[in-house]
Amino acid sequence: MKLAIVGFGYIGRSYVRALNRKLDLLRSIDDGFKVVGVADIEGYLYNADGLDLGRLSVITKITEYRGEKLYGGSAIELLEKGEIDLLVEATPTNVKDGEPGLTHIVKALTRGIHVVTSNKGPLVVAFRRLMELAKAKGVKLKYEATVAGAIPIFSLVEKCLRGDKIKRIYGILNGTTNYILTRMHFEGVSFQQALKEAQERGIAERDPTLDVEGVDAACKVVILANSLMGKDLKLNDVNVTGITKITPEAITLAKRAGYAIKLIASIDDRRTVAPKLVPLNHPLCVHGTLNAVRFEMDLAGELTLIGRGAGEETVSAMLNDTIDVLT
Amino acid sequence: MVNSKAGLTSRAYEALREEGEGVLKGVKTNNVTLLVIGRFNVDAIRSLEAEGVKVLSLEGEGSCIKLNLELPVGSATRVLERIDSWVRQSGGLLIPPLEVV
Repeated sequence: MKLAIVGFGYIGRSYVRALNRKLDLLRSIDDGFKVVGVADIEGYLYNADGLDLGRLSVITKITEYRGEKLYGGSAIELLEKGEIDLLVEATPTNVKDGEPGLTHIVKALTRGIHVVTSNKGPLVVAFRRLMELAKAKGVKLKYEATVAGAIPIFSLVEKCLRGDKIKRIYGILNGTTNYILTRMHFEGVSFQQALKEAQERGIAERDPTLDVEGVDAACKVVILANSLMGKDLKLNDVNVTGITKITPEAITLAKRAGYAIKLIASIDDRRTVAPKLVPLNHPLCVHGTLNAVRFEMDLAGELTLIGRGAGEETVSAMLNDTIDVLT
Repeated sequence: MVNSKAGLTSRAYEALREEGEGVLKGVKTNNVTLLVIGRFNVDAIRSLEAEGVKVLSLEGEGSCIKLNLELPVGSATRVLERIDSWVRQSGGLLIPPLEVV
């Protein structure tokens, strides 16, 4: 299996390090496993015999990789090289039009290349179209990392709950807002103070709008509903309320009554993202950057999964998707 | 067979569950706690009394109030939507409970 990675930011680099760490495992599954290309905005590296994962693991930009020609073309040019079996798409999420990830994924699927992605944008914009294209071309499109990071939601439902019907999915799907609300809950600080702290710690983006306004969680609602509940939703089908109006006084009143305020995404006959009062002893009342997802199934009843929703742990989901393609 | 988590036999577990469901079926009202952030006219909620809604308690903290309401079972979603609409009109935010019956 010849693999190309498009996007060499935090997630792309973390994924390369995971591949390097797990190379023996990957080669035990497929002795021809190699990374032949890596692209970012600077251009791309390509070697049909495979790039050195050890060297790729210690650089922060592809221009730092020595001993290989750096092509000035785009990721599309890399995908047209013809010797690629799997694209790992890890460019940043763009919820407006899904680009550039959408074009990368369409190009790969059209050429019969499997895709593993951590990028929510293309799936939010064009979920049905992409799944139909993958099916028509007989290739896999895997996206476990797009929702709740390391928590294996899609794999669990698709492999372990095949006979169940999902009645409801709800939970905390955004680690940044959960961190902010946690700091407000335990330290009594204002929203602005907690946000500033989150930005200083690298938990919140410099422009935190998508997180604090609930849009990031709404993207995950769209992907979950379309993937697991047979819907064909777009972002504007989700009723979204963020956390920017939450005050320390509200947190205090909630605490006094035995609740924490959490940003809850919910999918049943309605699709919403909004702050809710969660009892302090409820399984969804997790703190810090943790995510928590609760399923209500017709046979299994209630199931709750808790784990890291973002950061380096996300590559666990990408690696599992990669192995799924290899096997 | 023993239910490992509860340490109960399956028959005892089922009996307890049936009893619990029976109690729930007999419930006619539902107590709900909610928060309202921002300006809000509490008298508007009192106008819901004709529909069986009772204000059990009201507590304020700065620009936020906590309400405990008694709602007829099955009406919570509809009542909360109406309150939410009033709160949004005045630029505020309603924070409802995670679960309503």
